[in-house]
Amino acid sequence: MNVTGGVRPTRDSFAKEGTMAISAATRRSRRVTAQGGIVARAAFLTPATVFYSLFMIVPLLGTIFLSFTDWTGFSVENIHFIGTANYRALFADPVFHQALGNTVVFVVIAAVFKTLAALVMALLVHMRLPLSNVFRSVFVLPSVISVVVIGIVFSLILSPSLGPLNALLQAVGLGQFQSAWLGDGHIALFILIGLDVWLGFGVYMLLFLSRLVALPKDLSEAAVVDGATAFQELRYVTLPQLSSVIGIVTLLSIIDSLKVFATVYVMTNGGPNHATEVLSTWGYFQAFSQSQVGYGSAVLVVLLFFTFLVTVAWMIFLRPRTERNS
Amino acid sequence: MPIAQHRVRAAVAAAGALTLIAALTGCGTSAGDTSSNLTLWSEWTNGAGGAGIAHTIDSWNKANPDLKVKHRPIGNEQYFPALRTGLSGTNPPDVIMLEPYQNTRDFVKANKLVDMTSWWTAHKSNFIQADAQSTVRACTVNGKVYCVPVGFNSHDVIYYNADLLAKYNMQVPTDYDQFLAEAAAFKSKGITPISLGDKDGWPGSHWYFNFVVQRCGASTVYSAIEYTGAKWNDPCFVQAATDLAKLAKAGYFPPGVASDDYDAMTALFLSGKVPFMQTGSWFAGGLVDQPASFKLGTMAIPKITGAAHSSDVVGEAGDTIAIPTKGHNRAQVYKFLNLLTSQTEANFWAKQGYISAVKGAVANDGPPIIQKILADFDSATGVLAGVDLEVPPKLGEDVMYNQVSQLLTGSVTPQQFSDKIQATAEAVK
Repeated sequence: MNVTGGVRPTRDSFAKEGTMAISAATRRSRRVTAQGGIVARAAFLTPATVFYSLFMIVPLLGTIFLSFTDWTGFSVENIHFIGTANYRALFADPVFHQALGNTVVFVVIAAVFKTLAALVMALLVHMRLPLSNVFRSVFVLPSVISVVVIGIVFSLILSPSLGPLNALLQAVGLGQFQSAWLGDGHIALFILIGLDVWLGFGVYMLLFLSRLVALPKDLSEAAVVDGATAFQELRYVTLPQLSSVIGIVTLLSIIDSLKVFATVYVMTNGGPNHATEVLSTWGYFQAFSQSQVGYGSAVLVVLLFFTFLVTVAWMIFLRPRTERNS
Repeated sequence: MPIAQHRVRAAVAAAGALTLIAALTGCGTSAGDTSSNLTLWSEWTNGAGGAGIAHTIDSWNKANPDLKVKHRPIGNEQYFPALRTGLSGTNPPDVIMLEPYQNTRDFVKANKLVDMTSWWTAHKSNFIQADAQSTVRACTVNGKVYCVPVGFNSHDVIYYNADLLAKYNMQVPTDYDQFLAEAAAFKSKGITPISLGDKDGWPGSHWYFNFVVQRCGASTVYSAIEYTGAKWNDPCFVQAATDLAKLAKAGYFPPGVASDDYDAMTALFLSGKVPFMQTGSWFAGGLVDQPASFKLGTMAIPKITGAAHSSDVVGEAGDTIAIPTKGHNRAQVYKFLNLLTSQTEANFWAKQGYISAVKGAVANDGPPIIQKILADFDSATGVLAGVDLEVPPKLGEDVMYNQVSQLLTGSVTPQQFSDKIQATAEAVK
């Protein structure tokens, strides 16, 4: 016993108590540090969360809410809940049907050609042919220019009255191919699709390229040693290894084309006579020109639904397969 | 120390986030709620209106250095959505330029505009066409006045290239038959006779309105607008559509009629390749500063032989001033309105080529081209405002615009065109 009547600590007990004391201090320290970490993490996450909530979640929920109202956009005091009336009205709106059909045509063709063009160009650029680097920049260039500027420039080029295209065709003896272009309801949509493909494929080409440069070379070399032709190597070695990127590019290009707005708005405004109307332009027109914000919101919610559907379908059916392959 | 550092970092991050939130949500001083600015939104971006408003604002700011006018000019196609959004919020501008008629009725219904009846009653003797039907309809809702006209638009104008007419030994047409004959002559020489770009719907619709007013008369068209007897597929309306379809079918419009917009239309005319173009008086205003490279003339829309109302015209109080109910600085806004409609300022506006609504302004200082347009406008027996301004957007900006586009490309017959408009009018009634 010691003077205080306690038990004198042995070396072992001291060591044990000391360890316990250190452990408790460490735990306290870690707990405090962890608390600080949570606060810090929350603080750093706050700006992104605020941005995302303010500019994505709130407008999204607001649009869905407005689609069940008859709001005209003039006064927030005059919002009336009208149930599913706007959605029922969609069924009777021939322009909505036309816009829906145009959107589907637009998305299918644009997504297929964007993915194909990106893949083919990536393979060609990856072959390190002469001027490959130049073409890589050239293909990406349209993606970095303002879509509005491109729309205005192409409108001028295609203008039958002022543009150079018809004059050029005439000059080279191809006058029979002159057209009203964007004024011709039979081809205007396909011109816009072509422009969308041209605008978008460059970025997707970079995605393919980034995967191509990361592919292991041993499989290709083994295939060559085994006597595979260039096509067989592409078909059975390279493309299977790109399947995950093909899936992602397809998904992104579908979503990209579903959202198309600026080129259509600038170049045709949905015309002539709704021949190039897509869901985004029709929804915008209803909400902002016709003062039918509720109805326009319903149109845009349909667009949102399709985007959601495509994303979910990809996640359920394609993603597991592409991840497995990759 | 690490804990302290964490806390400091967290505090800094949180403060940053809060500042960001405050900035994004507009907390603190806001644009319209200011004591040092009088906020004005308008479509006067350039041309005569742009020069006019710049001069008026300059005059105001010199006299009122403590309450300067902060002007936000917005392009025509974007103006309405911006205005409606601005007025539906809690912080609208103090004073606005308004394209009136249906817009006035919609904004009044939503309680967004101040009743200006007292001001108008006290000052209306200073204005031209003050009691004309098209002026009254612009701003009056249930007997009260909610806006004040500052400028008129006449649609009764055809611009022509005098040099091109002279080159081919042609005279300025004095009636519609001569106009058609000269158009045919130009066409036979491989020259497109009339510049028109109808991508946005309204330039082609203005042709239709001009035919409608001569065939049916302003009062009949108002009857159709008001659902008080006349219908959009009555014979005179079908005839007006036929007049337009005939011009299109004869190939008098350029091949880009369905895809070119207003700017392309005016560019084609100003290129000197096309002898005629129809658009409103606002185009003349822009020519004062930037004259055409050829001798440009104006004439009233030729009178159609046999038309029952060939002396009626299309025109309206296109530019008005209104005051948002939630705007600020109300007394100063009226003071600004007094300046804007003063004889001195109106004379300056007219000098730029603007058809000022203030009496005597155009007569005093307007360029000859504007004086001639106003004289034609003043001599009309009946004045019809642009129909697209008078009817709900579903009927005007949607169906009417698209049907005119189809008429120009031959996709519908005049009867189908008229039936579709009537059916839509019934649907939106």
